[in-house]
Amino acid sequence: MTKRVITIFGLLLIVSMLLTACAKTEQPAADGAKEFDGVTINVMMEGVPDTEYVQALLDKFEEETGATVNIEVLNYALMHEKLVPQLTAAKGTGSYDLIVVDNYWVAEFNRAGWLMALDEKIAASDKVNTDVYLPSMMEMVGKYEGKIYMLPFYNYAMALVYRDDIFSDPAIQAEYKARFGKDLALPTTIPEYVELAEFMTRDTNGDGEVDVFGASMQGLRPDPTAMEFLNYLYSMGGQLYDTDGNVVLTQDVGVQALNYYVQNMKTAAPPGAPSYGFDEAFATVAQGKAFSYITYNWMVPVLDNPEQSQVVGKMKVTAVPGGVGLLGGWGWAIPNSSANPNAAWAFIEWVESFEIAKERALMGGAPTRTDVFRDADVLAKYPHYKDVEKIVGDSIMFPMQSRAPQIVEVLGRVISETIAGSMTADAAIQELIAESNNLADK
Amino acid sequence: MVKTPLFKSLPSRDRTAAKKLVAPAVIGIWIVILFPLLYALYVSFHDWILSQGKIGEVNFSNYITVLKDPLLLNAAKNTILLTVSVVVLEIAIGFGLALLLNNKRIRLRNLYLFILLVPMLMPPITVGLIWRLLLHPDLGIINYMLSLVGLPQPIWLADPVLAMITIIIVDVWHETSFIILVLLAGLTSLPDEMYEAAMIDGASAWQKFKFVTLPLMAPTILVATIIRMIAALKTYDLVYILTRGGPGISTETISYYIYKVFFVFLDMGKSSAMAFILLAIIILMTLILMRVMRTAEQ
Repeated sequence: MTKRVITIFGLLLIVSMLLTACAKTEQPAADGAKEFDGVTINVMMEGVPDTEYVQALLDKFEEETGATVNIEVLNYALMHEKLVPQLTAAKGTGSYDLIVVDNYWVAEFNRAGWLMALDEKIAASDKVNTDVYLPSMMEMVGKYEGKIYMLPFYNYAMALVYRDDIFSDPAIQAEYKARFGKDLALPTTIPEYVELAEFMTRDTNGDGEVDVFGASMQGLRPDPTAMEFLNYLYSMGGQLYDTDGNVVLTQDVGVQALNYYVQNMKTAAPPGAPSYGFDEAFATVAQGKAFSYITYNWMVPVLDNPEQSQVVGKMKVTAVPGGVGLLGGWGWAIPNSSANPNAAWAFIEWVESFEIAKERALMGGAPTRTDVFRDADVLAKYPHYKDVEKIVGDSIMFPMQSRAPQIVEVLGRVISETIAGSMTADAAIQELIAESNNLADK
Repeated sequence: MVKTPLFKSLPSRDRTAAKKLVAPAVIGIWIVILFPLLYALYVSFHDWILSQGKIGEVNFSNYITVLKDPLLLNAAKNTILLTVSVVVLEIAIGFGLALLLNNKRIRLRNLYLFILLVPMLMPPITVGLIWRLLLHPDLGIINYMLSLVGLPQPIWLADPVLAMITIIIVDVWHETSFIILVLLAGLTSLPDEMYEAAMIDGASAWQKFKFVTLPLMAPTILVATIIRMIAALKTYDLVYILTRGGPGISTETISYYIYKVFFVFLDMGKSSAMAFILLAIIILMTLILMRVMRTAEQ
């Protein structure tokens, strides 16, 4: 009897699993019906402006194809840990049909064989042409070891966003000249930036407390501080790995960059900055309490939105001092565990078409296609996209390493320990070099 | 199925039926508790990084690396500091408030009780997010209030020492309700006769507390302490939301460190080994605490 109970229980379990699996698979289109009638495409995306622009246009795709697109929007910190179990699922049984991949997951996901190669689909498609993408984007969130696994969705090249109203204030320019004996200019090196940020840190209403900080910064472990610091490192000529995956960071450059980073945190950033994540650092800028912020180049349209910002029309963007910042980006990918790969591909073809990519850009989206960057309408609305195209072209991506999340974790920890004073910059860089070697793919 | 006294006491014709009725629960426990636990034990003896392919040979290397890991040692120190602080503070404050609430002459007792229980109804993630906003050095309401009365405005989460104190404060704010509830239930169920006898003997309020309330409450306090201690040793959510273990590594707890080794480093073997060490410590500490309290009771 007991055996029978277990058998029945087991059978029920199997039947219920089969039912769930069947419910999601694609069915061929009947005559007259739309291609993907009744198909639901499950997508995981991060809660960022570019996702909102896609959501705003979804109706068009659903109208055209009959598919329902279900976008699950998550906080960045939760995405990786939620994705991995789904990506390890057997072929066709994962919860997500389509995903967006952050550049520092690319090597990890591809080495593990979790993403579908798109070369055949691209060759068969009359809509997709990868030549239109900026080469730096295609290298980062397009190709991996010669094959194409992703199409670049949006860029998050970092840049220096600053308050133009303060920068062009004649009184401040005069004060600067009196103190430094030279004209106020945008910083071209990290040391110049740290000096300028300290100068801009001031009490503007005379109540004895600083109310405008020279630099808004994000010292929270792991990725906020790691991403921010890499701009300092890259600008000063340092890098973690070369393109062949060898560790090339030297003690000298690493310590110098880290010392400038910590100095800026102590002399020009709000006192709470060592624990700030993106939201807090952004709020400091949006409330008019900071002169500058090294952040994503597309923060300017966001800071020009009166609903979110008190500095509308006052922000400008320029390259990270030194000209080389951190390049970031996301790519569209179809996991091998996708239950609806064809519908997912149709969605990619639609969302990455010139028309939709341009519409997204006009809403404030961060382009990856050269034709969108150079489009007359886009440039008329966002003249600074001319500079942004150069920034995206010049920036350096996070090293293509399969254990990139772990490298970020170590990097974030040693920086945070240096800021907290529980480690010297020297020891921090030593540990960083040692761990970068341990975690390297070769 | 194991022959338990429960089944033996039944007439033989009922035994099969009884076993059938219990079977789903037993299977459920196997699937959701015992199997994962045993599987984790198995994994802890193998090298296995999720993104780097297959499970390796049986070996003890995980336990050896883990015990030598300075970061785990630091996390253990932080966890002990946090656990001792929150358990002592919560029991002291919770017992004090429970004694006050047990006084039947206080008006609006139930209202106070309700207000004091509200934090318990909130999930830790919500608590963490609310406090993170309240504690924002420039934009948070706490520092704004402090500035109104001219007090210094601490950078709550950005200073290594203060960050730990802040986590302790938030945890005490959140978890004391639970202690109040348990201890108040205990106090309400104490027999009145003992207090009447003490009154006849002319005992003072302090003597009544020391010789009647405290000894009678000892088992309840023990239970509350053990439950809180076990939960505090596993503190993860507040750290995740408030500090991510920072600044530096000053607020990294064992559970948070295990989470990182598992979900960031995808190191199944090492994280399982650490989880088992934590489990062993919790069981050991619970046993010691029970022994100590039993002796004290006698």
